[in-house]
Amino acid sequence: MSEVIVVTSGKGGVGKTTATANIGTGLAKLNHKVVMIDTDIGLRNLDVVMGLENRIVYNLVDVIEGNCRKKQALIRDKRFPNLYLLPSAQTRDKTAVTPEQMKKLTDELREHFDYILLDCPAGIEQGFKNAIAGADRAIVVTTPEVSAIRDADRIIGLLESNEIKKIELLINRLRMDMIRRGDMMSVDDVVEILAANLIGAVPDDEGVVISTNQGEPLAGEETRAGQAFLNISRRIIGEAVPLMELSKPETFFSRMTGLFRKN
Amino acid sequence: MNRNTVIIKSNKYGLIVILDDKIPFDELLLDLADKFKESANFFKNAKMAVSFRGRVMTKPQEKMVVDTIVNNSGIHILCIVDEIPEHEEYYRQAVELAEEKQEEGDGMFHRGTLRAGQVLETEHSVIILGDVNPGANVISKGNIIVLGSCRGNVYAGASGDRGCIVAALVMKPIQVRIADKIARSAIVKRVDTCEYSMDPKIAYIKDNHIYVKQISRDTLNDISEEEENTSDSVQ
Repeated sequence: MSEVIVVTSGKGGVGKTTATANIGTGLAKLNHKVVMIDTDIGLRNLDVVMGLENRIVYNLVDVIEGNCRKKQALIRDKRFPNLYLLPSAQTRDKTAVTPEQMKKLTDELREHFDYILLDCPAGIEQGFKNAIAGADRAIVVTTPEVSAIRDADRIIGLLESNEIKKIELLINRLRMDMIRRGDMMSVDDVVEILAANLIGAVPDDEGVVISTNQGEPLAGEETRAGQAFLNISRRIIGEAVPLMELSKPETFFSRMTGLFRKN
Repeated sequence: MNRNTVIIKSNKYGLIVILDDKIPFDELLLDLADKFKESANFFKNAKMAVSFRGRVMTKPQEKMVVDTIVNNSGIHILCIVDEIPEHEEYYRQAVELAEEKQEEGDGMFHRGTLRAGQVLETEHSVIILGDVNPGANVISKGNIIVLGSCRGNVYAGASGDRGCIVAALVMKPIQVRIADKIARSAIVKRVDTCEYSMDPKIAYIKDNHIYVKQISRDTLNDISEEEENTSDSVQ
């Protein structure tokens, strides 16, 4: 059974594209066939974050307008053979595609892929409507900041009224030191306010900036963000993975005890 | 079928049915049925007041006439009017009064949380079984009760009723408005942390200001005193 997952947030800059890239990579590492679609027409950047910019020949708008076959536009990642990218167009804008066309495309792709990830643009207008058209479930990305949470709440309201039943929360860029000082909301605070299930919490990590600049997704790597993203991919396929213990400093001893602790 | 046994006069809100007083009642009912069947499309779903002329009837007879009319056309007869001024205004008032009585049922319940950007507008008092998130708006001409946390904008007594109240299990609204008064929450400098312990509070107007107090016997007494004061001054 294929699943179409839209990664959205409302607010810009909270980590949708990074999350899509890393979750897609994580799912591919777990041996599933994945396609990531960049639905941000006009301001594409999923290809940059994946390091596949220089292999783009055709894009999403070409496929929808019938200028090429799907196979010609899909870029296969050489690092992970199960992972494909359908890039967006940079010279058009969001009115180039309608929700019905998107739904038709995702339905066609269901036959070939286990997971279809849609990287949604920021906002609530045409781009958002296009991205959610064919989706079965949604991952709402937010940071623990008041402005991001307001927007996430709005987005969850819109998703619910568009009858997307499975809505899960990804809290990004958590800083444990600030949480301890009371300067930042904790995971529990955010979940309480937004009243949605949590699919994962990713700590703030310098490694993410480096990875996006270099085009090398870090899911599955030894860093904390890498582990967090891989855990999220595992939860998506149905494994019950306890939340990473984020508050302890990473000494060898605490890593050992962490392994045996039940959450 | 003698067409003149039943004559119908109507305006937008009222129906005057002139009944022949010589023919037997059963025959009259048949004629009545026919007459209204013909006019069924014209009157479809109209809500009207009705009055009878020309024939004195007992209450049960009147009831049978009304039933016949209702069964043979789409009219909703709201009330029978005894006086017969042929004034549209009179009928309109009668209809509106009857409609109001029908709608005065229990307050409206809203199940579920109101999220940012959602607006709930009601004519009557509303009870929300859920939260009102920041960015959500509730506007009511009556009272607002939130069985959850109220962290958005709430506006009670929207048509000017200062006696309306807002109550919530966790009262941390961005703005509370009652009638023409408005109260803002202080902007919390620390982040809105999850101190969502239940602390039921009620907001009401007293001495020309909005008071927000914990729900206790004293507060409730306060509120009912305030209501008495304002209604006294009106009289």
